[in-house]
Amino acid sequence: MAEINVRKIIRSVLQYGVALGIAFVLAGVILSFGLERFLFFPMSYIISLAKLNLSLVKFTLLITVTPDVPLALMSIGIIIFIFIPIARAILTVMMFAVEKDRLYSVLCAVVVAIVLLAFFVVGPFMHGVGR
Amino acid sequence: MLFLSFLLYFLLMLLIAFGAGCLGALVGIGGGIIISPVVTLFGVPPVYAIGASLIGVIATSCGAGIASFNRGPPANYRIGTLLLIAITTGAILGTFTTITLSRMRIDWILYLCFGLVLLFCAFDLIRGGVANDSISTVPVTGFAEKLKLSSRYMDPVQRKEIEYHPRRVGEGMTAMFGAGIISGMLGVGGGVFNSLAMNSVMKVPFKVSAATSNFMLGVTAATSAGILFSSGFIFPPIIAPVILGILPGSIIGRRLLNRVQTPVAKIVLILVLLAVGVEMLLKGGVVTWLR
Repeated sequence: MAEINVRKIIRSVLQYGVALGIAFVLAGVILSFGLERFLFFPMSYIISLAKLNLSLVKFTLLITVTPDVPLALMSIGIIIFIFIPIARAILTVMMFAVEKDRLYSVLCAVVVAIVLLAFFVVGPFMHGVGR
Repeated sequence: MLFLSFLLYFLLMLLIAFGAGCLGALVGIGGGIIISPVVTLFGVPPVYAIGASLIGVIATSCGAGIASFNRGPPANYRIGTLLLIAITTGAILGTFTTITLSRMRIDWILYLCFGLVLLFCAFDLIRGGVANDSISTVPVTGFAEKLKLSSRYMDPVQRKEIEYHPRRVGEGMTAMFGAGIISGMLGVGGGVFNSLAMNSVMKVPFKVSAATSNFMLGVTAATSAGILFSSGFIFPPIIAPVILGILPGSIIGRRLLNRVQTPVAKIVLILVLLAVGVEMLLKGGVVTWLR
């Protein structure tokens, strides 16, 4: 019974997560076109902007402090997409815990730890190495 | 391509991602495989193109995940969890390799890898993919038994419950580690490799391995995308048309499954894979190599 409930939560996370992610990306795109941001820039300029390689900290500052709303909205959408599978993995840990399956609760927690390590440690480390 | 305006890139990529999602869902290999090589054709460096493809993979895997909750056999989360330890570790190594190659300005290696993987997928489709569903119905002993991976599912075609007992866990995990490296390096979902390893090596029924692979694809792509995001290799305007195109494409592709002749979609996809694969090999300097 408990397993069924967690599965229902996983399905809801997938459904609402995707809808929310798409909504943010779409809002960012519409706004960037409305403000004529990026619209007629050549691809070479877009690529040069991409090559600024903002770190996670600088990026957070950019989307909270600067008024670049379209970029911020698109970025939030992308972050949502990255965190949907992570949320699914966390819910799977819960599913195993509810089933009292200790071995797989621990193994799935290891998977979550690896993914979070990638995002919060390996990524910033790689950013630092390239500076 | 570099003088192309962003608006044109956006519209073209929206259409290409839509087509890739649609064809991928019709043929059953996912559309991510085409995205990163095609994005590089617009002059985007591979490491940024890989980010676009990975987010596209997450979007399609979420869409397919919702569909598999409504119908089909459930994913075997125990197998998925166990294999994820290997595949996510491989994905970290793969992404690390890509970033390093990009910083060392030896992108041609990535183009060559793109070309080889695309051609592999094209030939895999030509020979029919996983033609025979290999299932192990004999109970396992030893390590595999301790891992409690055996399960059962209701097959709607045969109208009976099918019990399966996965085996060769060590080999399966090794294959998945390799699949993770390819996925992290090239930004492909790796669904083809996942299914091959689970079905051919571990003898998990094809339908269960497809549902389990879907759970694994999302987490694997999130691992690599997480690294690329926090190291600054994800630039939202490059990715936006991919997300907005591939997700509706995959949803429509799944709806068209019973109405469109799959062989036609398969032929189109094979031709696209071959064309882009050869283009990638040329970009990787294979002609110079052969001389």
